[in-house]
Amino acid sequence: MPQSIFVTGAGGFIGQGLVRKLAPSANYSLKVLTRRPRLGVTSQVGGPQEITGDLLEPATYRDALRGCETVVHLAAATGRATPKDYERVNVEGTRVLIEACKAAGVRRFLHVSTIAAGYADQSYYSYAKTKAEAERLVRESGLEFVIVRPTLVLGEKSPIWNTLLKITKLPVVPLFEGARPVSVQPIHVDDVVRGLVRLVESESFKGEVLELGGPRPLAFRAFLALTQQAVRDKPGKLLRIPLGPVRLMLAAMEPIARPLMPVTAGQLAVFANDSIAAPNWLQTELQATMPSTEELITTLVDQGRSGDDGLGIGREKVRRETRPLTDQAQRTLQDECRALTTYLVGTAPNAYIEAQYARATHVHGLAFDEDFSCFDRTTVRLARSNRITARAADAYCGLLHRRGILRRKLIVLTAILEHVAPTYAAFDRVETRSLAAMLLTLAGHGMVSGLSLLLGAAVLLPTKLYCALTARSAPRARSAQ
Amino acid sequence: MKILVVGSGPSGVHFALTALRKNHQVVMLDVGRARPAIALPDADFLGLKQQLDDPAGYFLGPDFESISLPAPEPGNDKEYYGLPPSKDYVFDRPEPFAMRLDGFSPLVSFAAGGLAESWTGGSYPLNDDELSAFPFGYEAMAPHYGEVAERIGIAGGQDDLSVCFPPHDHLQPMLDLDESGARLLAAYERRRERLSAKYKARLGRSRQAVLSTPKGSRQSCRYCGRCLWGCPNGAFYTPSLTLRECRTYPNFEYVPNVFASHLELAPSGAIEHVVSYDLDGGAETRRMADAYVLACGTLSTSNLVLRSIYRSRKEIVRLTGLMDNRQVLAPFCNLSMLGRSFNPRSYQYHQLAFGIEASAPDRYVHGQITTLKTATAHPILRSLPLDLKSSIGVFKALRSSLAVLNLNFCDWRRETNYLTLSPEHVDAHGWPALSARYRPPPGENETIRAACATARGFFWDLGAPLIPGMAHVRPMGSSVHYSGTLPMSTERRAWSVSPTCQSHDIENLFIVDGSVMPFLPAKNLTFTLMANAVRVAATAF
Repeated sequence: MPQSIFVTGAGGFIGQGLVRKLAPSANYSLKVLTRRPRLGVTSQVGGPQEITGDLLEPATYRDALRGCETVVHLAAATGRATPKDYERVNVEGTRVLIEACKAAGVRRFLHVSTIAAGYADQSYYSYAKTKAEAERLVRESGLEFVIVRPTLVLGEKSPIWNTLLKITKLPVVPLFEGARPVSVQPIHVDDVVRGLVRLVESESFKGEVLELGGPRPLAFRAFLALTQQAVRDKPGKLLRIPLGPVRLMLAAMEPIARPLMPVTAGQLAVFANDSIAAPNWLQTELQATMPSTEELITTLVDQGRSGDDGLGIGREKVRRETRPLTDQAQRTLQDECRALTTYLVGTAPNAYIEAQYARATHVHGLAFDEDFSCFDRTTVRLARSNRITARAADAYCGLLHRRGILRRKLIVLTAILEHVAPTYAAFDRVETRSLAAMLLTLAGHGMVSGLSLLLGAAVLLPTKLYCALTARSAPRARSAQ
Repeated sequence: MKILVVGSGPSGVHFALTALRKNHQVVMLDVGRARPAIALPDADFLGLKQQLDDPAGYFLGPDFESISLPAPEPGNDKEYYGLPPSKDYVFDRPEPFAMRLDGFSPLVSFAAGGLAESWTGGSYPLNDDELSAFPFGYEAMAPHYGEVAERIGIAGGQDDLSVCFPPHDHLQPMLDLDESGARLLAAYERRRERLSAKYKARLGRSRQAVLSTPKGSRQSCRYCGRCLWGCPNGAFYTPSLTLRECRTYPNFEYVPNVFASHLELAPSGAIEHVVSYDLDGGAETRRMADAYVLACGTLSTSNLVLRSIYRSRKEIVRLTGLMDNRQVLAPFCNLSMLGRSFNPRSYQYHQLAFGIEASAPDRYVHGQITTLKTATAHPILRSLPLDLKSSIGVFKALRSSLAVLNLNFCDWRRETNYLTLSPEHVDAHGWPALSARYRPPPGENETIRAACATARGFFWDLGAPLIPGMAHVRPMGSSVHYSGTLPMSTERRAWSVSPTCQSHDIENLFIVDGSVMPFLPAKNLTFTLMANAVRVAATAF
């Protein structure tokens, strides 16, 4: 009989890899906890069973836990969550999950933690503190458990890796340095997944804490230099920045400006602590087949360049929205189409354009207001209101929220308007103007766009702050950093 | 002689036509996804927007899949090819074909006519330097280049760049150049000597597979502006036109809707028959011939060879040397066009080409210049960091001056790049999936940077500066010039073919597509593939 496994944080960076690895195997029957059913993805026969629920509300997944032998707990708050959210998801979430496991008779608990849980210097780092606290709960749970602490996890879709890539493309790369230089031991996500699968397969739930790192530790500086070399084909410059004052300053700003900060004081803890794995049996076993750190980095850089997703050939089919368009949503989209068309091209849309817009936003998953975040809802509402606020919200999103709902809705509408009579004329009209008139037009656009941006920022920056501070729902659960 | 050809792409149809004219019996197996009917063939580009019943469906696809949207999460954006829904059939893949990819994102086609059904028509002969790794030089190729030019119609002429293209027969007069291109060329003519001395680079007219004078049933280009969406009157050449011509021969049998799976090999190593599956019913058919010619493109041809070895010898081999041109797209602004209008009634693909001499003669960098006319606007609009209303205004003001330089870099065979089968990914019929691995050559960034710096200076001096920060290095696989896995070689090496493209491993097998290229120059390879296929049919059969 296949081993029944329950996975939290399956949508996260490590979780996705783990599910991909376990799902096709006949040896496992997989249940994954998700907060919202994924758009258009139906459970395949034999694929993972999706349980829609919330980590903090055990009632939503209690039944699913029954009969499971192993729980793999990956869900965690990461990134720039508030200390309150870290506490709620990482500590409370783990506590209620453990209770639910005990009640359901789950025997084994595989807890994925982080190397940061063992940092000596956890100042300002709620993430590390709460993950350490979660580990304590696991140790005291009475379940058969094993704790895995990955170090720096790299992979094509890894948030850390993408940040690193961006940074190393800069001509000068900032390097925060504390009292002493620190070391890291980056590991590929596939190797972490391999380790987790090895544990799930084994009987080794003996209360160990297993730290997982890459093939060898190296100085953070050396790691940055290697990445720079791979990205730019030549070593770049490193700019040393003293860590202490920066952390202090960030910590002071944090209570107010967190949602707007690119990095938090806590996240800089990686520059104050070594992130290397203490030797253990699993590390030794995995290390035998790991590529060298140099190879790991060049492969990731090359894969990034190739745009390889391991799947796609040719055009990707749009994933169809499965929920039907309600009358209410239809009416809202019709009004929205009128407001946005008037804003973009100065005329009202005809019935054909309205119908196309409703259909296009629907298939692209942009039709239901209730799906949007607090901030996205505000931008869309502003845009629906009148031309001036529409342009202000658009200008803000065009610069600072380029993947947001409003931006995507406007691109969809633009794509329709440029191809359809009569609005295509706003794009394709052949006109000749004097150079001076054209430069004047450009200057006019620049000025209006700038003013709109200022207006948009004046309204939307406070909104962003407000939305972040009042967010009731849990931050996006993700695998450990 | 009975010859069985697999694939109807540029190599397959030109091989077949020559063989048919030599009175051979030719059977062609093909998946052969067919082009749908052309909407309103008499309308011009703007006419389509005015007259179609469902213009959104035509331009954006039934599910609006051609809308170019940013992915909700960074890092998940797909490469944008700008291929319209009317060309979707070119990329429709049959179920038996699966691929695993590592460092390589190819496009694959099973259309009647192959990937070249969506090509942009660049047709350049290779010179002796570029052919130095081939077992023959330009002289051996020249008559076949001429023959293909005669068949397909290539517009081109003599100018400063022609020194990079050795002469061949049957060039048609050039098409009318659009205003932006004409101004750019005029600016170059004024500064020619200084520019070519300073940058070792040249500008001239590109060679385009399009008719400037009518040919048989094909009309000449009428400048309707629909090139990107599919030429409605056959002026622009695609291989399906030659397929149509082949089908008029009584000694030709075209068998579409089948997937050629593998060759069954006799113990002697020769092919006994080719096994194919009907794509509707799945029925298996075995066909015999005197010679078997693979022309289904490097990926499918290699897949077929790999599957054949896997089936007959239970062995998975690695076909090394996979190549593709790296491409860099660099948008620029032709300042002399500011304030001027654009003409939607003009030829839409590249009309100018650009060549940079490199350290070694075969490392020549080839560029093609496309001035913006009737392209889809929203992918450009969304790339600007402005509100869309301003983006539309800026776009309209600058439209006539915008253009893009597409730089192509040569590639050479390396052991690290290969096609093989992946035993870990087996389909429902027990076949392991084709698997590709590609790593760029060391020092590639340096080469790209140097070429971009040359282009930046050159175009700046022309009064057409590249737009800073907008150059885009396309992922490997985007240029669709896959080649090199079964190269021509005078030596009898494993997994190679003779100078007449006969396999050194399987005696009655010939391979005539990109797989046989021992080196991939920067110039578009399609013209050479067609000429080489004609050469093989003319000399080996």
